[in-house]
Amino acid sequence: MNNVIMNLLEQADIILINVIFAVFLIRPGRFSKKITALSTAAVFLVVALPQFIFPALFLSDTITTPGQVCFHITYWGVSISIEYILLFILAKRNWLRTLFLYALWDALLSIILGILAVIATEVIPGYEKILSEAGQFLLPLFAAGLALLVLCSAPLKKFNPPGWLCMVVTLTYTLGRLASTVAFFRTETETMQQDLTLAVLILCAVILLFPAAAYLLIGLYADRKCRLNISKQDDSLRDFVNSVLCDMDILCRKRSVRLRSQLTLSGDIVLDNNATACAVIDLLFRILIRYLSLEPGSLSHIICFTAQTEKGYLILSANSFTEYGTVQSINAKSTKIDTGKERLVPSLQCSLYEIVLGRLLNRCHGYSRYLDSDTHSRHLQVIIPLSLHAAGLTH
Amino acid sequence: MVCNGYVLYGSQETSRLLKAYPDIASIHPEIHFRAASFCELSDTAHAKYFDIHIVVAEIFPDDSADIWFPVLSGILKAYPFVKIVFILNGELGSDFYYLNQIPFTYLLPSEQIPYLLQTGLDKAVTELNRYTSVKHSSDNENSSFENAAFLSTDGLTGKGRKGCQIYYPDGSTIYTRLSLKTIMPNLPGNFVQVHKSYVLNMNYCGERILKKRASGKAQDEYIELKCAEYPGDVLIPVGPKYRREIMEYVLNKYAYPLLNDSERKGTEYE
Repeated sequence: MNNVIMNLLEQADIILINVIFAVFLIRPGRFSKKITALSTAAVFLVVALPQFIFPALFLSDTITTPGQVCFHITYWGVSISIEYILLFILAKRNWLRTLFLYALWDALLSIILGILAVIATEVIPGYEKILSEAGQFLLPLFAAGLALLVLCSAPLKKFNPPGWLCMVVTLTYTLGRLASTVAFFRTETETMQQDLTLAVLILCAVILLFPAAAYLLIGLYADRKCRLNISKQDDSLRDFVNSVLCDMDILCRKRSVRLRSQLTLSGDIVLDNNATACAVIDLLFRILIRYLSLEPGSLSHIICFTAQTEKGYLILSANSFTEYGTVQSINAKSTKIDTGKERLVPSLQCSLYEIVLGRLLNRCHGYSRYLDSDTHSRHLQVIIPLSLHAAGLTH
Repeated sequence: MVCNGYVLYGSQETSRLLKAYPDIASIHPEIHFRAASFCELSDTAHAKYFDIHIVVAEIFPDDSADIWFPVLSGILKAYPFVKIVFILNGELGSDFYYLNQIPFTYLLPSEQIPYLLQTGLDKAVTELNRYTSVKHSSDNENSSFENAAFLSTDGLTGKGRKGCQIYYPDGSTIYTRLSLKTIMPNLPGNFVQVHKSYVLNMNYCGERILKKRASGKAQDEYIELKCAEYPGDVLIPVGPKYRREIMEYVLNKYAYPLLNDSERKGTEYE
C-alpha cells in the first residue's frame, strides 16, 4: 500500500514539475499559460494513467516474461513520444530549443535533487523516516524551483544554441533516459536479458532513425516545392516575383484574402536560385494564409507583400492582418470561437511550413525573422543573398 | 540626435505645407529643415553637401513625375537610409506607379497636415534612431572612430602588435592600441563586425561580392567599400559567422516599413 502511495505521489510530482516547465520555460508559447498548464497536466496524467490503473505492472522491477519486456519498452517509447509531441505543440516556434531546454531541465533537476537528498541525509539523521511521504513529495518541487531559477537566469535566457546542438543534446538525453530506465529492470534468465537487449537496440535504432527520416522528408518536400517553380529558373528577378505573385493572388482570392504588394526590383538581375526564392515566397504566403484562417471568416483579411533588392540581398516582407475597426468586425471578433481545437490544426500547419522555410533558407544562406507581436497580425521578413549570377555582382 | 530634413515641393506658391508652417524650423523639434523645390534640387548639386536624413515631399497631380521621381530616387541612391514622408494633394492617377517605387515611411493627404504630419515625422525619427543611435559616446577618441570607414586588425598580428588600424573615408589611416573588442561596444549601431578582423561602417557598405577560390567550388564573400574619396577599390572580407549580423542590419535598415491604411490605398495587387 505504501508503495502505491509513493508511486502516486511520484507521478503527481512529475506532472507538477512538467507543468512548471511548460508554463515558465516554453517561450514563445502557442497557447495562453492557462491552456498550456491544463494541457500539460492532462497529457502527463494520461501518460501516467496505466501506472494508476495497473500499479502491479510497474511496482515490480523484475522481468520474467517476453510480454513484460514488450510492455515496458512500448510504454517507455509511447510516453516519451507523447512528451515530445506535446512540447512541439506547446512551443509556437523554437521547438528544437524547447526540447534542448527540456533535456537540460531534467538533467539539472536530477543533479539538484541528488545534492538535496545528500544534504538532507547528512544534516538530518534518519531523514527518510522523519520526512514522510509529504517531504518526499515537496523535495522535487523545491528542486524544480531551483532549476527554474537557474534556467531563467539572464545568460541562459539569451543563449540560443544552434539546431544541431539542440538535436544532439536531445538525442543524448533520450538515450540516457532509456539507459537509466533499462538499468532499473532485473532479468531472471539469460533469454530474458537477450530479449531486453534486442528490444532496447530496436528502440535505439528508432530514436536515431526518426530524426534522420524527418530531416529527409522535409528535404524532399522542400525539393518538391523548388521543382514546381523550376520553369521560372531563367526569368529575371522581377519577372519571377511577378509570376509568383500572380499565382499567390489566385490562392489569396480563393481564401478571400486581399493581396497588396509593393515591388522595387531591378529587371536585369537573374538569380541562379530562382526556384528556391519562389518556394520561399510561396511558403511565406501559405504561412500567412494559415494564420489568417485562425481569424473569423467574416472579417476582411489582407496580406501586404513587399520585395526589394538592397546591397546584394533580396528582401521579402509579408504582413497579414485582419481589419478590425468597424462595428461588425468588432462584433465578429467578440463572437469568435477561440477553442484550442480550432486553432491547433492551422497553427501546426504553420509550424510545419516554418520548418520547411527554415530549411530552404539554410540552403541559400538566408535568414528569416518573425515580427509578430500580437495575435491578429503576423509579419515575416526574409532576406536571401543574391547569388553569383546576379548582374554586376560577378567578379 | 538632431536630423537634417528637406521640405520639397513643386511650387512655393501652391504648397500647403509652407502655408501651414511658414517657419519650417518649427515643424519638428528634432529635425532641422530646409526647403527647396524639386527643380532647384535637380538643378543644383548642393544636396550632396548636406547630409539628408528625412525628406517631406509634397506632390500635386500637376507635378510631373519626370521631375520629382528622379530627385527622390537620386536622394535615395545617395542616402539609402533617408526616410521619406509624402504629402499628396488629390489623386495622382497614373503617377501613383512612380510613388510605389519609392520606399516611404508615411503618406498623408494634404488636408491632414495639421493632424498627421507630426505622427509621420515622429515615425521617421524613430526609424532613423533604430539604427543610427549611438550605443555609447564617452570620449573624443571614440567620437573620432565614429567617422571611420572601417577598422581592421589585418596585418598587425604578424608584427606582434596589438590594437587595430582605423581607415577613414579620405584614405587616411590611424593606428590605435585599443583592440577591436574594446572599441566595438563604444561604436554607433551602424558599425557591424563583418569578419574576425574587420568592423565596417555600414554607411559605406557597397554591393556584396562573391569570389571563387583558386581551387575547389567554395566562394568567399566580400563587401565592396562604397566610398568615392577612398583611393582604390577595397573589398572587405565577410566571415560566415558574421553573415547573420549583416543580414539583420540590412533588414533593419532597408526593409520597408509596414504600410499603414492610407498607404495601402492604390497598392492593391491587380
